[in-house]
Amino acid sequence: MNLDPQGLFRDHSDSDDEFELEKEKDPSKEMVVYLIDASPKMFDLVGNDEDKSQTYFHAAISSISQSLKTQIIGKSSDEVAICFFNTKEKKNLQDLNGVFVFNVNDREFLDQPTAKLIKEFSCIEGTFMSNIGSQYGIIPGSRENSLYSALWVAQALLRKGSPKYVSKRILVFTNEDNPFGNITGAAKTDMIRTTVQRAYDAQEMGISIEILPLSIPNEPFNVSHFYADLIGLEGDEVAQFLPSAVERLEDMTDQLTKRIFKKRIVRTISFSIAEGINIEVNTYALIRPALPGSVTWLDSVTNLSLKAERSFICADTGALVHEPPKRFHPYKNENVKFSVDELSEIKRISNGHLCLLGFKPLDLLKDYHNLKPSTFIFPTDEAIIGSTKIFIALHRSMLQLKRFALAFYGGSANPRLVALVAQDGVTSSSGQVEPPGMHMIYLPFSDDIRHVEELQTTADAGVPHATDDQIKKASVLMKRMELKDFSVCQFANPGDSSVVINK
Amino acid sequence: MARSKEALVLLLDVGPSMHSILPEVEKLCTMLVQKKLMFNKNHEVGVVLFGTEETKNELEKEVGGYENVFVLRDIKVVDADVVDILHNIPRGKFPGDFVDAIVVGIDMLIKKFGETNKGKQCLCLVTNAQCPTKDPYEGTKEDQVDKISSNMKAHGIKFDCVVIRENPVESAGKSVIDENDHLLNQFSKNTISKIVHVDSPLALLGALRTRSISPVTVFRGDLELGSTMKIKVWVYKKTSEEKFPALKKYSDKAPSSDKYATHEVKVDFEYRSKEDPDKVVPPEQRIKGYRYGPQVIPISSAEWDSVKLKPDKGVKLLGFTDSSNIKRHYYMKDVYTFIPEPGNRKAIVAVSAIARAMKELNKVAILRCVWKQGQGSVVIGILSPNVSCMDNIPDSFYFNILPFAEDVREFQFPSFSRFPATWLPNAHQQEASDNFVRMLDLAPSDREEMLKPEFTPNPVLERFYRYLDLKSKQPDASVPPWTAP
Repeated sequence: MNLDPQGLFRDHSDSDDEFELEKEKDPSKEMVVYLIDASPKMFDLVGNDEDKSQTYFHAAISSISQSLKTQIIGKSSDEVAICFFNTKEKKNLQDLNGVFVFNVNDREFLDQPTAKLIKEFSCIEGTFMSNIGSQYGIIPGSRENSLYSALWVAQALLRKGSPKYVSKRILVFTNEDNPFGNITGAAKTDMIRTTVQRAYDAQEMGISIEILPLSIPNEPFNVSHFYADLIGLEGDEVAQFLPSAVERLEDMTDQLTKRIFKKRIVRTISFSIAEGINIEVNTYALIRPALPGSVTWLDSVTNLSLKAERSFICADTGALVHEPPKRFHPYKNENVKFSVDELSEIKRISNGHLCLLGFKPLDLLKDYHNLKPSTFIFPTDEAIIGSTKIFIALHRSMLQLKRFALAFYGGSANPRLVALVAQDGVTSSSGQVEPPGMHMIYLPFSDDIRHVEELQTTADAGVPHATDDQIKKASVLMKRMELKDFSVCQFANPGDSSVVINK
Repeated sequence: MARSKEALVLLLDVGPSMHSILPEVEKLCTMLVQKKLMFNKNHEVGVVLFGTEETKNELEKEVGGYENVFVLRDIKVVDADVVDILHNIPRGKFPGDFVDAIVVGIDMLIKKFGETNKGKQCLCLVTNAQCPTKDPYEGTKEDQVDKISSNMKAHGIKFDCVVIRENPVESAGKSVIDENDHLLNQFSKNTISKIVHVDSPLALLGALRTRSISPVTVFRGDLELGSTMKIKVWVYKKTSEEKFPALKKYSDKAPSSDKYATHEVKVDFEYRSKEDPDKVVPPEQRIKGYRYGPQVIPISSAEWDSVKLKPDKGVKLLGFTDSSNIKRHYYMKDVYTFIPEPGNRKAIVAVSAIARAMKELNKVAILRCVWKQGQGSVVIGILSPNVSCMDNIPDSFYFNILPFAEDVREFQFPSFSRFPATWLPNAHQQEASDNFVRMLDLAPSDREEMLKPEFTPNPVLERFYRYLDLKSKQPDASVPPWTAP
């Protein structure tokens, strides 16, 4: 997915950028199989009757539809497959009972989502019972194991592309934390063993299996009954995993949607704290302006895509110029020439890493010290052990002493001073509201700041400022117009033209 | 249409106590003038040194006094010569008297412009103001400064001053410094002046705005607080990234004897069908398509127009909320300033009342803005107060754009407390970290804040402009090596 569709972080000195209609640099692609439990238990109502009650099944369908819509708008080349298990009807290449792979025309089982897929999937509940049906797939007395079959089918679907360049995931949506609870004796141990083995085999092949639990307040989903083993959670990780109980359907859907998005690392960078002490951190783009899908040119006769080609022509002679090597800038009535190498050399003043300069009290970070969206930083011990320890120590110190860190962040193109602001984790009923970590805020240089207020200075005695009485009146006004429960990003962009695309 | 020219007189202290910082002063002044040469070719510049061994100025000839003030260059349109002169400023032998220098500067401006060009003239003083000024023939030093500044006001001359003091001064010099600081502050009573204190070479480089951009309003109109309450405001950009200059591509096809050759390169686009790469598709046959997943949906421009949101221009208040509700890291883009309509007393007071109330109660306002009619995009953002500490600058607001729901990716991260113990610092390590943070303090109480964004110039841009100047004299010069300040 293009994390920076507006090119905010691209180097703009090269005016070739306007040509980037078809450029899609996707180093890592994601393939996801949504494995949705369709057993009768999933069709129980969530919450009490006072709500406009809906089923667990509905929550799963809603959150997946939501993320598919976001995915398709985000111009991603990621592929998805939708697979139900514990179904009456079967539909899969392995001809296994209780597993139904849902699809529409003009796409393969595992493929990019299309408008038709999203449309039909969103309203699947209406026809689900008649077309696909719901049925328990693991019952005493039978050797059927729908969960095992589902994992098998999912793994087979993901058998394309190499794990080196593609990230493969199976997301299991269910409200049953003990699928083999009804089975007893040797059969139970056997079935559990083979199912867990199946999962291990998939994981060995580079597929990550994740559970998206749906739980209700009085009966929280307990991964230690079965799923902890399946997905390989150990000890502390089990505790980490606790899904918070939800009261309302919206919260459940919110939680699910958040868990669906795999965290995409923008870059792993080295953070130099002091002479000889470097730690490693991963950066994430939690906030970026989402642009609607890009526009491309079509031939109006055939409606097929066109490919653009550019050529360089000398303005004076009309001759073709091959990739021009030099650039120039007018100065003192002549043209001063530069080679592309010289220009890169000028921009190269740092080695692309984050370098700590010191700390300042938080109140010195002013509201107008901003240029671009911030980038989130989280530590990783993958390459340098001990990174996390140092990061957390600094994080706690900064929170305690109410300071932010000032650092120099030198990408090869656009080195900047940045402020690192520590953020403590914050959770609410809908899940994690703020992740723990640091936010890297890009600071303006003196060249970027305009001193507009001074335009208005007059040489006369002074400008009027409000009296205490006037300030009191203003306070009364403000209290009347208070926004209750305001939270950032509660508004959807009214200018989103993707709303149009319902053809 | 003749735009009145801006005129600047640089007043530079070259006395012995300034010698150690003069290389930075040279860098600052050459950058200032170089940018004028590039972007404001019709501006005029004059240079006056004080603390010099020689004396050369008209006042000395006419009325006597004003020793050790040397006019290095009369006020003339900026040219390559003044850049070169400022590369190598002669060092002086005497302590500088800035008041004398100011009077000489004023005299030069008045003689050149008389009653014209008011408001476009500026004196820029760079000094450490560490040396005592002479007593005037009559009256106190304060009276003298008052007279001088009134004269400046009468002619519309602005005053910019950078006071650079690297080391804390021993107590013997303190009374002189206090007196000088007091005198400098006096100027702001009568003139439009800005006095900036820096204590490091790096901050000196960023202390003067080297490029004057005429600010353009993004919006002029009503800030609607409700259906009946409206305040007239003007909105400008407060921050805007100064990008690396776009360099045109160079073509050497035209012979060097051709004086009219532009040596520019045009870029030509041709569109070919993917199916039939030999066929070029002309512009009339092209339409726009919108990518939706793997498909492309053709949309004619009529359909685009009907779908595009055409909101009405306007800035509306949605409500107030606690400032703690909005975390700093949600600010999305460049920052805007909202100022009350200049000269509009009601607006100025209204803005002031709300800004001060917001500050007192720790609240911010949420606005919905459409800057231009039929623009097609709406922004939602937070308005925060900017209460001014100067009498002659009105209170204003800062505006930061906030993300929409779809701009936010809510990834989940594990909580630190759930990490295994080996990943967490123990009490001893935590204490060491606390001490480390305390130690690397960039804003200790006895000094100016270090690396303030307002005073830190973009090193890549600086490097480029210096290299540009170097290359114009030596076309084969290679990029000078980079040394971090």
